[in-house]
Amino acid sequence: MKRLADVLERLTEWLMAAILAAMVVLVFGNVVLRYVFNSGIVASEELARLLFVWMVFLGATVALRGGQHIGLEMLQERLPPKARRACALVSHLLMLYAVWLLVQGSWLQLLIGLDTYSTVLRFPMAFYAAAGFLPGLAMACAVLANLVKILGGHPEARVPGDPSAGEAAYAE
Amino acid sequence: QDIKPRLIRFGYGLSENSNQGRAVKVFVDELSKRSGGKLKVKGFGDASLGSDIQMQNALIGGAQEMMVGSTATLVGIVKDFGVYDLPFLFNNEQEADAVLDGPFGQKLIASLNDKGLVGLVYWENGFRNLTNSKRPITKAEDLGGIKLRVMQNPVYIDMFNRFGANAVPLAFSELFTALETGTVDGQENPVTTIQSSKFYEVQKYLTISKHVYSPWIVLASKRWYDGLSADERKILQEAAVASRDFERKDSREASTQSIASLKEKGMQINELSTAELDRMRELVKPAFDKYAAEGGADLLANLQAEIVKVRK
Amino acid sequence: MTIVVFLSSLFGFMLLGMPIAFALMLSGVALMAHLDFFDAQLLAQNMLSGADNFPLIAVPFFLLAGGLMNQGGISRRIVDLAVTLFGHIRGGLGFVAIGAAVILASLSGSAIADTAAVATLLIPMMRSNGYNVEKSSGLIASAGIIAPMLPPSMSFIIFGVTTNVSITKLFMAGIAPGLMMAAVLVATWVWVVRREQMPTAPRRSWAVRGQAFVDAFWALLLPIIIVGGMRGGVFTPTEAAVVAAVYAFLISFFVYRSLTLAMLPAILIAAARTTAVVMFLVAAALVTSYMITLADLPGMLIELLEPLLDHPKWLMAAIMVVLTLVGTAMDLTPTILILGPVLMPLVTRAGIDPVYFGVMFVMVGAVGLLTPPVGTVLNVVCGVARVSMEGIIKGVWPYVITYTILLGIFVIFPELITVPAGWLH
Ligand code: NA
Ligand code: NA
Repeated sequence: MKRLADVLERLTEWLMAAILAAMVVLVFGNVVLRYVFNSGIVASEELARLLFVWMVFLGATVALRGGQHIGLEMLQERLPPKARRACALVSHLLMLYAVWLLVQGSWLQLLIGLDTYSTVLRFPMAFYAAAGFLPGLAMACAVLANLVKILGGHPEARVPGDPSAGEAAYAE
Repeated sequence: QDIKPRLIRFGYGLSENSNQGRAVKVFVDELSKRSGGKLKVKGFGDASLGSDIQMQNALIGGAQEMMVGSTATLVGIVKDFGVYDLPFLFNNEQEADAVLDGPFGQKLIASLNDKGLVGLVYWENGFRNLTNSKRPITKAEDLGGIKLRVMQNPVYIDMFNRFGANAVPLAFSELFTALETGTVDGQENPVTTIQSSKFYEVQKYLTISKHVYSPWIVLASKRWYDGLSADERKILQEAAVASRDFERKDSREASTQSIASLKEKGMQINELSTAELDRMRELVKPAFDKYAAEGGADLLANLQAEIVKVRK
Repeated sequence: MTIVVFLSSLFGFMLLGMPIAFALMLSGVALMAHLDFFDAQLLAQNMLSGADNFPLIAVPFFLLAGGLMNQGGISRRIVDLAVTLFGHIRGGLGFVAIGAAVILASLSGSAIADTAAVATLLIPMMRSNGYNVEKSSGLIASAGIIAPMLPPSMSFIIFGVTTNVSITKLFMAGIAPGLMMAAVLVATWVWVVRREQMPTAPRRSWAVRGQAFVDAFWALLLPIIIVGGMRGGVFTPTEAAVVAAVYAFLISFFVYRSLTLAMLPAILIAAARTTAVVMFLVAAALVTSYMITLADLPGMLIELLEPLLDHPKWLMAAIMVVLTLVGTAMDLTPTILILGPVLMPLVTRAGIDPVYFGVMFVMVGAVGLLTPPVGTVLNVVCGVARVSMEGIIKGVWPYVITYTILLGIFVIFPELITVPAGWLH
């Protein structure tokens, strides 16, 4: 299981790199075309935005698995390990609920989006909603996996406030 | 009468004191008056419930009750709405009213029902006009080499390129800055938008080109609408019609005032001659042929027949 | 009641230790339940459209530019130049740090990337030259937070997008206070090291300085390209970020040749990952702010603070105190996202210039990056300099105090910000 998840994560990272590179080409290409050739890529904004949404939700899933989302851990650090674990349990259940709502809501939007099309390229708007739906499912798996580890007292379980907890990705 | 107390969330994109906001206020009052205060509408301006497209989806999904927005955004749902984006369809507001409120416009509205939306009435955004910082536009050739920001719509881009302009796509959120710094030379929007977005601060020339008529459409969520009683639906429709009549009158007055105020702010304003308009119409004819070739032939024929009827 | 539901759910969830993004989603859900508007679609839709925002595409581009500059040797050349210019003065490496941070600030959009670069390059140098590492780290952390004040700035873009204020105006208005922050740092550093015994490097000849300048020339050109290109209409503020990234790539790949294609994927991935963390927070915040709008919380706040509306300076002072307190526990981006939309209507009602308010908001939030318990810039420097949190807190407090005094001066004399902003715009 873990092997598979690791491979998927690596693939996702490469996909994110490719998406970012494509966004650079689209947006910079538009600057050059407008300034030098007085024209532009009509689909540039539409496409760049779609790619951006995907990059964000894919990356958020990877960051969730690595415990890199920014959180307040100052209270947790001062709690005894048992209480800390209890808090982690409750917060993981709540997070699971939030992710469930994201998945459920994106699914409904995805269904609507099957029949709705973008302005320029006329791709189904479901492509946007899918960026919430598919990564949402992966997020649920990530939260669930860590929840199981916490319950089983697994040494690799990430518990907020534990000295070993993953280092937050830097974002101001 | 069978009326239940309900709270209706009504979203719109412009601010509370725009023509859109004023008409929403009229709708709120009319509905309250006709329902004895039972149907309460809370208006949310400044796109605080999201963009047009986001609100549309919320309506389809039943997460929001009502909105008013551009028909251009509906093209993604019902392709036929793209017909309104064709250039130089209507000569004046009266023609537009007659066609939109007549069988043609109502048939398009009815086609939304399969898609989870209920269209109530058309409001008026207005005729779109050109501004730029280079020179007055008196004929198509004057557009030569002007970098013009247009909506991200292939029809518009094609049209302005045919006039010799360099149509460039750009997000509306970046437009003011882009005009200010000369990233683009011009743009096209209804005069009320030109005034409210303060484009007069960064644009010298306004040409009353009336190249496209932009309607707004008042929409309700079908899911929500289906749960209303016959009485409630009737009241809703009546209030919508009352708001439409107010909105069109108000918008037209606002446009006249906008033009006067833009002139006062130092913009140089000119109108296009009828002869030149005819020439431009001829230049964009391929856009119509293309639209017809892409499956819109019947619709276009219908519309043109309707316009001829109205002109008589 | 609505305010209580909002605050208690948000802080309750955050204190449970869950990521702030999830706390925001769930506090939005709590508000939905409270207002009887429960619908999963509202959550999903707002999150998706929170990320679907064209001006915010600048975020990954800024982070990419920062990564390319750090990996491609641009940051190093700027530090080298600063060393040849100020290295011989007593405490000179401190001035080097300030000078390098200011130049980097005008190249990059984020405090984290800047601080990491300056700390990585200068701390070892300061350590081996006998500088007190705690004091040095404190200075570098404090210099790093100038980055969001000088254009280009990720924080101003996020503030502008969430509160509908012109990003270009924010950029121009941040320049003067950003430079004043640097001046304040210089004065404080002089005071901090007044009794230190520290060796000074020999004064470099003008030939050496000239060579360092030539080396750094292409890097120094970037701020001119950015500001000139924006003012000259070549690109918009959003596009400026992608221009910076492409320029940083071209310079480090073709001119400095310190970047190889093999390094690119890792730099792209790092920028994309950090973007995702920032933007997921932005997306989640939109759920909350949608519900805040529905509940008309700003309206309630205005009623509550009615008496202060006629005294804009007192109102500003009160807001600054609140933001300073919030800043101890919360990072800049979430503070902007959560409180920006709530405070903006209040501020406009009181007749305060929104651009001035944006500059003050970002500045006080940036100072919050330096205050414990949650100070991201402190964490970065701790990690790079291998100093303890206690140690860096000892080093950073003089600057936090002088910055706060500067903020107080800006509250009393808003003209210090608004007048220079008028010259530039
Ligand atoms: Na900066
Ligand atoms: Na802090």
